[in-house]
Amino acid sequence: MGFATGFRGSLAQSIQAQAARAMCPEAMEERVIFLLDYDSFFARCMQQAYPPLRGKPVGIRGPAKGTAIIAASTEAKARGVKVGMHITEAMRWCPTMIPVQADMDMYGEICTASLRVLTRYTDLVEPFSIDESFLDATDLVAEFGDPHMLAQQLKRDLRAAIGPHITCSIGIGPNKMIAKLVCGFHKPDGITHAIREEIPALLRQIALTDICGIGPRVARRLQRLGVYTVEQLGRIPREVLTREFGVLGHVYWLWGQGIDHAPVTPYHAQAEEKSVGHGVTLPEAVHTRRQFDGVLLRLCERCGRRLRRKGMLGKTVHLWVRFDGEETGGFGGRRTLDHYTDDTMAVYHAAQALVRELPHPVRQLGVTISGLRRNVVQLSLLEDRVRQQAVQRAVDAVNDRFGEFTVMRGSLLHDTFPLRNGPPGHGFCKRYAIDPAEA
Amino acid sequence: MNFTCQKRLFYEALQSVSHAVASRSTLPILGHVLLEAREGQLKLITTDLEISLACTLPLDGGEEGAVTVPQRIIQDVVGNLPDAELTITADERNLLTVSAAKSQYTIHGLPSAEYPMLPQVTSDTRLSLPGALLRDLIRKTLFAAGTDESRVTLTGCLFACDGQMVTMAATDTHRLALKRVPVSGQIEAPVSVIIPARALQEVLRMVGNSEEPVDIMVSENKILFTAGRVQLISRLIEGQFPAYERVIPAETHKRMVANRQQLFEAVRRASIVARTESNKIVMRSQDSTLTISAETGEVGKAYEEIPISLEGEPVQIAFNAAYLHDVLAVLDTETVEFGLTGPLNPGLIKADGEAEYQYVVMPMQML
Repeated sequence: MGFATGFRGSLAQSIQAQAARAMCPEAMEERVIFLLDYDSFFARCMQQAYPPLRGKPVGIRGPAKGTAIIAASTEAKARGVKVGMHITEAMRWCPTMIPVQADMDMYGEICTASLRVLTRYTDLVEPFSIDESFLDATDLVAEFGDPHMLAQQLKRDLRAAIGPHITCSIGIGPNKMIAKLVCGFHKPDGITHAIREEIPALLRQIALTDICGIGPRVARRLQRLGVYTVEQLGRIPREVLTREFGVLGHVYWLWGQGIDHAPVTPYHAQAEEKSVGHGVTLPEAVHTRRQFDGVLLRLCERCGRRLRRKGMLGKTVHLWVRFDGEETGGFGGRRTLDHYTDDTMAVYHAAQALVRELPHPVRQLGVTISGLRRNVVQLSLLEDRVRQQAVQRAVDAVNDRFGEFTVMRGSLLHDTFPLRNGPPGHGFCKRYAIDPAEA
Repeated sequence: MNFTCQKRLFYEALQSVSHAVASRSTLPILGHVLLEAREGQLKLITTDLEISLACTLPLDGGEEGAVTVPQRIIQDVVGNLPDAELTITADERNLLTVSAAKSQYTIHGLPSAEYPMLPQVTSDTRLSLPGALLRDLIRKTLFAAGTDESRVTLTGCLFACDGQMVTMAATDTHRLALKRVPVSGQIEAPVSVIIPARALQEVLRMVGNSEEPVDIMVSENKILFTAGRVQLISRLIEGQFPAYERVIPAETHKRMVANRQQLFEAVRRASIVARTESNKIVMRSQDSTLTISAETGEVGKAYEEIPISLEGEPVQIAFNAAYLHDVLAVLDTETVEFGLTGPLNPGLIKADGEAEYQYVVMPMQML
């Protein structure tokens, strides 16, 4: 394996051990994978930081002028508060709820602190989202003897590092898919361990959409192929799935049998990003083109800023849009520019050109930029790109110092929708394509 | 309709109109060719509603009439028939029959009345250019036109004539190609229009290697080219072409002269490495040597040296290899002259002895 150079010895060894297992499918299914998922993360962080909030229903609203509930404490959820509700509706369900504004910086720090704890155990830690991490514990279990004991030890260390009130649930399985699936079985503060022999029975109990990676849209397409249960998914001829979904069909087919070969990819070892993107589910549907464009520009600004922070430029702009209320309604498309860009407005114009009309109110949209490269600014005869870059750098510097959107484009003022301002760098990005050879 | 015609002539006529056929259109009739026998002439017409092509053949007697048939089918049938005299007839059920010696083909057609009308171009703005000259104008500029449909005015070439000079220019905002040639004859009023790139590609094909003059007629929104038997009508692109004169550097501080073929081959080889990423090549001068290098993580490195003569400070600049390759491929002079100022300023390429050609190219940032 050629990628060991530059890594710390232990990480290189861990990856090599993992790579060696990947050569052999049976060994892949002998792994012990942990998924660690914090319970009501945003709300628990607040309760940990502000003791008067403990034991009380807390509703976290989005940063800035957020009016939607983006997270709720266990106490609030028990009284009917749901994520995505407007604050006034949440207050109707639970009049004693204490609304608290989200503090993304704090969540980011707690996330980093918890990763520090996990990487003391093994380098094979993959942050999956701000409050979820995968851990390949195969080699650790050999030392500890029992995955359950290891899980308890992890929890003790985490409590010591970030506070006893922030609890997590741990799912343990032979692969990422099973670990993620069973993690939700005992919440909060639970440990669920699925051993291989239990998997067939487990798969019979769950719905297709319980699998992380199969959403309502994929499920609907599967149903059209006559696949209604996870069992059927594993039994249908693989070719039927690959014809419908390409290489992903192969992945789905394995999932149907409880198999998942995806490795736990440590953050440091992740390949250079192939794309960067930002998406949003709006607290209420937008009806007008002007509002839509406002949200779109904001997402493009996020993407542009992320590219600039990484010193990358992209060439292809992808847009996807989902209508309100209809699971399958929406549109999308992509547009390849004739030069590489990190300019917000260039991304925005390309994305905007993909929108013809809005026949229905829009609830979700996302922008992704792919074809990423470094150091490839093609200068233009008609626009002063050097000057544009300088302006954009100055604006970025102000926003880095005083907070996102301190300086913003006038047209963003039309955008009255609160968007989650995640910690810098938290969007979605795709690092590796599925190897077609595997299918 | 009923006429006889030599296979070779008829086949060439079919080929000459084949590029305006819209084979994947939602209107099936646009995949057809209209055959019209009238007043001792056979007219073959195709259109994709953007451009229209027409070819006229003289007929020797026969019966007048018109029909449309699928262009691909009739071209394939006629192309594969032996060289002989063909008899072509069409009946009122729109069945076209092609007979040659012992072969006979009957093809289902559609009524000619359903075919779109050939657009008419009427104007007093006419000029005539020798074929070779028009070909040169197009060949040396068209490649620089843009392909981004959101900037539609850049997807064609500017065609301007003030009575003494004809100017053709194209830009995709990263480079500009400009050629001017003197013309004789007079026009009513100066012309300045944008011709779609596709129409010009078709004109190139239509002119071929012929030296015969090409007649051009320009109306408000259409242009007509006539070369021999073939006519092309295209709509014009509406809008304002960018003020291209502004981007041509008035003076450049460095002047580098190189052998065109050597430079072309070095750029072409280096781009094998460069094109896997952003196609960036870096040019550096050292006394009378120019080095061209490229490096990509995926492939590796390229390094080239060519002799040059240089006036002014040493050169260090990066370009998209394709933008140099394109221009060096169409020039036909022994040497090229490269005017440069700084690593972020435009470069100006001129062909030695071709005073009326200018190519402006913006660099890439070195970093």
